Amino acid sequence: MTARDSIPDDPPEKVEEIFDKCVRVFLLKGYKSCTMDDIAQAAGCEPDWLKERYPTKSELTAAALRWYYIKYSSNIRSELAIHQDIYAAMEATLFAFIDICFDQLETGRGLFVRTFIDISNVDDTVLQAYQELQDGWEAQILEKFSLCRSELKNPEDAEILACYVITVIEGLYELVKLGKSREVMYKVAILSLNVIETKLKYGQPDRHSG
Amino acid sequence: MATPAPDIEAMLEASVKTFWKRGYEATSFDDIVTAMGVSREFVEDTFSSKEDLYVAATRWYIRNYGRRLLSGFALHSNCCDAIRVALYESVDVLCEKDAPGGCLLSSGLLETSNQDAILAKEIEELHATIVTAISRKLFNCRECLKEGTDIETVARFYAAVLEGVASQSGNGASKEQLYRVVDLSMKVLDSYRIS
Repeated sequence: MTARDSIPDDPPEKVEEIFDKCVRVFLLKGYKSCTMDDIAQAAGCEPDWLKERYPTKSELTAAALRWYYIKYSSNIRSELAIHQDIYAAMEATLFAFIDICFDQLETGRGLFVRTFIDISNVDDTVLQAYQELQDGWEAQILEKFSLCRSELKNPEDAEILACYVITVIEGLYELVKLGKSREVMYKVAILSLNVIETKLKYGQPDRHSG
Repeated sequence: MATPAPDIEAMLEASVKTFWKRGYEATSFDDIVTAMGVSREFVEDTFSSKEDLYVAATRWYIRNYGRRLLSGFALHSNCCDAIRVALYESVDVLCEKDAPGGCLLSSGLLETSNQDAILAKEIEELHATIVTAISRKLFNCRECLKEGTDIETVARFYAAVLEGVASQSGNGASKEQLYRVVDLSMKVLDSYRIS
């Protein structure tokens, strides 16, 4: 993170409130056409206060992308560290991901990671921030599959299985945004794990917790 | 000699490609005007705002690409073949040369909490159409599925795969990778089929 990304005195709730408001301004006014003043007004803060922390719209957006990415990644990292076998690790990861999304919605925040990634297509500063997130949750999932290759019937499936799980997570994220309930999401997540089960050397006992 | 009227279909296709390449959030009204190759005045007369244009482009997209996506359902009576073909078709559409690095159907707009957001409704309707089509196909093939198969959850799973494939395409996944992901996802349905 750059020095200006987070001023120590700013509580996390305040920082996230700004990021949440800024993306709503982008969506309503367009990324290119909106100004820092528009964002400050939406966030209920002084433009100078905002610019002191984030001198440009690009830096604000890059900081927001990093913030959300790190938030998701740190939760997923914890789940992957706790669970040793690949099935349990992926089950916990999917459930943790669903819970983060719903926690986000229940505190009145939006789900905007995809929007920030979209913006990286047209803003080099944001793109660079995105490319620097090497240890994001996608990389962690790939690493876990690589570490657990010996559990697979075919160890060479590790990479494509990681790609599959990432695809499922992206899909779950979109379904949450479309208003599906937490219970529905858990059911879909459990169903998706059938694929991993079929790829394990010794199968998997019935352990779905739901 | 009178100037020929601009081709609305071509304008919508150009706007779809622009939205697709840059994403809704990052595309300005001027970007669309440039892509359409017509006067700004004409575009402003035809579409009142960027959202209005996006809604029109989304409807055009649903009619053209969405119909193509679901056409496989009618062609295959077997539910596995139908779903696989639809998912392959989506990979083909998403990885088309003219539509790299993005997805038209940005769900970011679902979060803007605008009561008048027609667009959010359009996106939700497209999703519902897809889930209904998959559910119907599974229901019609229910004699091939194990008793107690949760058809609705299976349909939602494949809708999630479809959404995930769109995101992964935007993240730079290759067509070959996405085909393999689709093949893996079919193991879910295989596990419910009566062998």
